[in-house]
Amino acid sequence: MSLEERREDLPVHRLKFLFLFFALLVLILAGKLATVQIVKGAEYRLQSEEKRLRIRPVSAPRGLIFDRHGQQIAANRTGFTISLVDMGSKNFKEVIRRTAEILEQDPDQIMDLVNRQRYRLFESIKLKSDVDLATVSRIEERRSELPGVIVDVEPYRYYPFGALTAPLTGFVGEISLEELGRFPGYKAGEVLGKDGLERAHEELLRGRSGGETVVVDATGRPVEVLGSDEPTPGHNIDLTLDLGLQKVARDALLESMRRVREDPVNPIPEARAGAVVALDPNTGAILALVSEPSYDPNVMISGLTATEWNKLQSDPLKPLLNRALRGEYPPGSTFKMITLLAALEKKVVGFAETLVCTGVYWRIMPKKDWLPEGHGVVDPLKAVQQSCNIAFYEYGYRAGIDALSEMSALFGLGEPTGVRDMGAEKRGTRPSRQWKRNYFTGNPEMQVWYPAETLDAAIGQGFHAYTPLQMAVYTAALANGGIRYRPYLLDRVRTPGGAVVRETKPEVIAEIPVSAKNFEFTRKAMELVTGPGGTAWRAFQDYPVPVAGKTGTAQLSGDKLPHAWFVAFAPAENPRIALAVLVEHGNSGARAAAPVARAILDQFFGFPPPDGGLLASPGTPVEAQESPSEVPEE
Amino acid sequence: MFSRRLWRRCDFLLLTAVMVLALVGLVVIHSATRGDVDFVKRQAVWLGVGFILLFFSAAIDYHSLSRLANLLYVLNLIFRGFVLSPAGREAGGAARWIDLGPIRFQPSEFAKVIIVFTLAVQLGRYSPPLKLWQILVALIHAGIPAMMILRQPDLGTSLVFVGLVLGLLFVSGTKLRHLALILGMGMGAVPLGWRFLKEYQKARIVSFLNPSADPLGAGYQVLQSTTAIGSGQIWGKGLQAGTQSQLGYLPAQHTDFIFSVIGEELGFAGAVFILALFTIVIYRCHRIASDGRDRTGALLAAGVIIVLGVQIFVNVGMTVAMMPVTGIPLPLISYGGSSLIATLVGIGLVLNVGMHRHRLAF
Repeated sequence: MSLEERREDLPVHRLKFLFLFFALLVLILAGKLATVQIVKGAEYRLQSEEKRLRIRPVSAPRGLIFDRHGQQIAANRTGFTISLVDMGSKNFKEVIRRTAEILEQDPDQIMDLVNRQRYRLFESIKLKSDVDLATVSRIEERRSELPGVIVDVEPYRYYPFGALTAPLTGFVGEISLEELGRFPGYKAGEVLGKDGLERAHEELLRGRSGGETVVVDATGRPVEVLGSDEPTPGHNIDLTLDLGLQKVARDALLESMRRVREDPVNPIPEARAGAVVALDPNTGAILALVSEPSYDPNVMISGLTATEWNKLQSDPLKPLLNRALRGEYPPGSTFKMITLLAALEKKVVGFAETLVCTGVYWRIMPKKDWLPEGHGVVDPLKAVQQSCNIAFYEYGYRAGIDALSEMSALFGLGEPTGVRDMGAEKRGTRPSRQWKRNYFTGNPEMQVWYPAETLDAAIGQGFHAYTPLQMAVYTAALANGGIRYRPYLLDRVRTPGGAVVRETKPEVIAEIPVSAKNFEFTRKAMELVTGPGGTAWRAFQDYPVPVAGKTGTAQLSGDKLPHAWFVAFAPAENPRIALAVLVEHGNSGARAAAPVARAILDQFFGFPPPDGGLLASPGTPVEAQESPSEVPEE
Repeated sequence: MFSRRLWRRCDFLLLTAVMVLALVGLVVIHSATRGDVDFVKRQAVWLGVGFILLFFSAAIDYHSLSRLANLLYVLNLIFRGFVLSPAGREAGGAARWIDLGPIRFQPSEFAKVIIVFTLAVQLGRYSPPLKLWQILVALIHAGIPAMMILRQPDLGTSLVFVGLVLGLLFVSGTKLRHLALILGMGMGAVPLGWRFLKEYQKARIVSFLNPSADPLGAGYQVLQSTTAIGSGQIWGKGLQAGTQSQLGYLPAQHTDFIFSVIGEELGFAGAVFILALFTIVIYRCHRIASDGRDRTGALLAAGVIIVLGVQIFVNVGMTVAMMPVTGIPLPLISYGGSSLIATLVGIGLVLNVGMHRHRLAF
């Protein structure tokens, strides 16, 4: 290849151009460097030496939660956070030692945190959240000795009504290591809803935190904000909750439990837990939801010590358990409306059909009624009114377990209610042939459905286990003539400016195919329960509004005392409220649960509370006490 | 291959400039890591390995190496696939590493030198002016690995590839109107490509165009870096005396932002000294390219010029807010074995071209 050929082959002038191009780029860089370092050098020098830039995160205030009348039940307050930045001072170790002393922390642990952030020193390290004013002033007094120790004001969650609304609100806390893995977009030290509304509506409430690039002085205090990214507060939430009703429901439940515990004749010290759910039967809106014992969610905010947390966790009464959603209990006699409707729909029982209750049911094996001498001649109305077990054994026997199970399912028993606002709910247990087959896999003898089990199922005993919320939804469907709504607590979502961005529309989950006249008949029967001769007559004597209700005393295996239930809706015609009350080991639905329902209705309808306190006098007429005499085999 | 005749033709000025840059790199890394000798030790080991490889890549006649071009190209694609696979290791939001137990390396660094070589061999076969299909072959040749690197995602290295293919097409004699056409189409594709960028890449570009858009993220880095460089003034604050670098204000100060440390601690004088050394390197490469006897050799040297030049400009430009923040290291200086070794191999190839230019005369 000759030289001439090569030149033709390769444009040398283009190579030269390439070199000159890059030489020009280098010149441009040099020019820019001259501008930055020589022309503006002194300015930058000043900035680097006397002023320093840092990123300061600014937390977004969480959305507020209001009850239906605008009462705040989850608010924000300001609190102090102590953070540390390495200002490069020579006695940094000494600063850490002094700070650790004030905060009562381990200096090695702080050093560890600092080292872990070695390449992000421009961000501060959070040492302690929500410190008290005394600590803050101790730090401020020694400010000059503590360069790099920063006191920030941050919003903290506050629940003005504490334990009263804890089952609804849940609580927030610092995100855990395990949660950091599951919630992308969160940084360590950020706040996360842990339970209840706070967890279920985390995304709405959280908002978006912002930050500022700030110039700090030599002690780390911000002196100038260079650029900022404003935090966006979370959305506000309006609930369907009626705080006044909630308060009465809880006080009445507590008072009733106290009364059962301190009964002069038959004290029951175990009566320490319970739940109440009140719904609007025409929408499914939750008006009140109580679970006792509760806990103070404010204590959880600044962080519990390990001992305090263990104590809460290992408390046998499980205060962190929301019983209204996650407690499963046999319904006892409150189940009997299902049995009645199943028998009526199947036309195996007539409205006026009577039978004679002698106190013993002989069909499969002798089963006794709770009233030893029996109820005499009983028609379906009287069977509900006096909660006659013998009659319901017969109705259940005639309807059969399949019809009972199917009717329970229609009313949502053993099904999720679909509530979305408070985290997971329990499904409960609805016994059926299928359920036994699946549940007792590997035990063929138990997989068979025995006729005697149908009798237990007919009076709400045996395998049934439902949540108070499910019982309230069931009662609401009885009240409104067969519409099962999704229970909901969140009514509206508003921007911090007040614009409504979301509104919950009542949602029909199922329409129960039961004839109107059978519903009407059942309603009439339930109304008799609160009338003269009914099991809840004592609690509702001469009540100005007709109330349809049903007592329940759910037997437990072993020597544990039965749970007390009362379900009700009122007014009996065109009902506006439906509720379920449960007192664990309350022993008698009529005595422990019905008075709580009465107090709630008083508040709801605006009647003055009865003399001598919240609850009506604890009458103990023999005829108002019901109690199945047998403990069903389980 | 170790004959004295051969090495007498070696460009020792180029070699010296490269050596000085790498040694300055060691010193600055030592300072940037606040005297952490581990980093310097590791970088020194890589430097040693790099120089051994440099001698090999200089000594073996590139004409015989060019027969391996196809094989190298395919191997490189396989590595790309690896990085995108679960074996690739994440760093700063992007999968860029291959992790083989104790040895981790960044194949995109090696990809640069491999594609320089294979593309030079490819374009070396054509004679100017390039026909359209030849241009297309070159675009696909560089385009496939570039797209794979973009997927990693590594925007910076992909941009280096764009510069490489355009530059080499220019040097190898593409008609200017064809080049203009390619540029025009490339510009047109930018809005389309935007959709394929990761969020953090978009954030970096947005914050480059409008630094106040993201005062906490990429904008912050650039703000700190500019402050560091500016505060160095003419003579710098001295090694390990830069307040910005020593207090951890600078992100990635021993890797991508090492030039900020140079600017702060060695001042305008030091920064310009480094740029001058780079200019010498590029100038000597240009001389070798112009004196080369054949097309392939000239294109090879030109390719190294382009890769070095683009990286220097993008990296230094980023530290003074002239370019967006992309993860491109400063050749020969930034801490990191893959970049250092790949650059030294590239220099070796250029020396190779210079040393073997008279071979055809025998």
